[in-house]
Amino acid sequence: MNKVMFGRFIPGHSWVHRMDPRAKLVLSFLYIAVVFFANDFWTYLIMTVLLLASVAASAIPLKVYIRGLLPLFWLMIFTVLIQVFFGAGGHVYWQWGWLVVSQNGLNSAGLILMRFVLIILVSTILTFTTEPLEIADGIESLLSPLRKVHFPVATLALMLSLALRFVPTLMDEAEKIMNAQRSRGVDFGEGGLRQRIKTIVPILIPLFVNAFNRAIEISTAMEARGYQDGENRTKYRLLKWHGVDTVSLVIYVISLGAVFALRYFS
Amino acid sequence: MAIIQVEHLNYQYSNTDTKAIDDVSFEIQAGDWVAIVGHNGSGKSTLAKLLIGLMAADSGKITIDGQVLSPDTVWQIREKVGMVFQNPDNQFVGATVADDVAFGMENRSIDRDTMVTKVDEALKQVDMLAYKNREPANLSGGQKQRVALAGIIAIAPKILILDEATSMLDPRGRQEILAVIQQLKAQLNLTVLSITHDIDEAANADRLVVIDDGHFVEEATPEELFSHGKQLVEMGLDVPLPEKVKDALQERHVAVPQTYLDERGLVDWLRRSSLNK
Repeated sequence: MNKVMFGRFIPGHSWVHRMDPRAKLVLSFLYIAVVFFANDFWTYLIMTVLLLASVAASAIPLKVYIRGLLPLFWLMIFTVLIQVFFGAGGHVYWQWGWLVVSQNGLNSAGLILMRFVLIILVSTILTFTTEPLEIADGIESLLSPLRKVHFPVATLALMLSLALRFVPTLMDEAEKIMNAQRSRGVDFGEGGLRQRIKTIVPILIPLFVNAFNRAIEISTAMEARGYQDGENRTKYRLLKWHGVDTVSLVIYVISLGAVFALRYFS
Repeated sequence: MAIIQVEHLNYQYSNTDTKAIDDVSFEIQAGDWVAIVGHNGSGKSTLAKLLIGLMAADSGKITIDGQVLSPDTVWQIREKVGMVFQNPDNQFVGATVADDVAFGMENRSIDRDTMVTKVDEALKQVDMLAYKNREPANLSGGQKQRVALAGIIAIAPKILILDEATSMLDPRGRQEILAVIQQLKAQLNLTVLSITHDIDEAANADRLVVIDDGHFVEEATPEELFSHGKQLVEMGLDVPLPEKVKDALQERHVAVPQTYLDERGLVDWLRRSSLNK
């Protein structure tokens, strides 16, 4: 469980840690959108420098980010190979039957790999430096204009934060059930795929049954504490927009604007 | 003045043949600590849920602080009643201790500045202020129950209902929780209704209401009830240690006092008596 770095929160007090989750969400989405407009050396250079600056501002070593990329290594290899072999056009370097390695193929493979790495890294900055609950708060706040069209924003946010709240609880429970099965002689690491799937079913069933019972008890407790509907509540958690957020926003807008300018006006 | 009044209450779960609550009536005076005892399946927890309208009774009348429970008054009544449930995890709604304490206030649309001060106050009262920003995964069961209490006192109810609130705790956590409740009861002038089969929790009460198979059996002070000895087991309570000792002595033909002794009383009596036959 501890090997998975992707999507984990690493506590700290860096520039990026101190930023408002809304700012981080907006800037990440903006960055991802602009990545698709980058198309040559200079635009990619700006994107890369901006990303590395953000990584530095998060005060988390680059190698931790690289470790976060590793689980996606095979996916990257696969995407690159697809691009190399199926991107036609330009000078042909190598051909064997229907497999063709062409200039355009290599170009687009390089482009895709670059985009892939940049997008994953920028979202990793978000998840490394922002508590899941803060992300939920940020999403709620950003979606709040939808309230006008009667979209249940607060209810959605409460669902999200409840789900996050019970992740460790359910993981504990899964561990307990697995230990109970182990004590009855089940070996989880053994056998082929079929055998392994068979050993998982006796974990999932009690886990689901318990989760349902839990849900009923939680909803009773929530009602007993005066929960009527999600929308007419005040919020204890407060999001505050600081100077760091404005400064970061300005830096991002200038850099990403430069990418646009290079693409369309040069 | 009776703050809780229950008259001829009936309730039956749709998938059973027998009534879970069968014509139960009782009254609880303001400022009292009343324990409802009975064994598993006797209808204790059903009774608690009926009291704050989490389930609707088939017939009968519940009056809380002068208001008759009905679909129109249920939310007003929940303002006056705080309830602590059995499983510490399944009532911890917030992502951190402070968030959980604030949950009840958020539901009542209390403004944020008030919430901030009240969260700290409430946590201080249950001695959990140092854990304010902790996540529930890092807390013991007893600590989670204390947070649940903080969430309740933050909304200043008149009545506190404990639905087997100590049954999933270790003995130390149980003692701590009971001590906190006693202190809160005195400070805030609460009426406490505890549903339990823990003898220590029952011993804290001013009066005990015994129910069995959904019937009201009897109402007594702990002293009166505990002197029943072995019958307690049939009522769903563990026999207290001094009673166990007295029974064992009686079997060995030692003359023992017929009145209820707490542990200190037992020690005093043992020191004075020479255990002669």
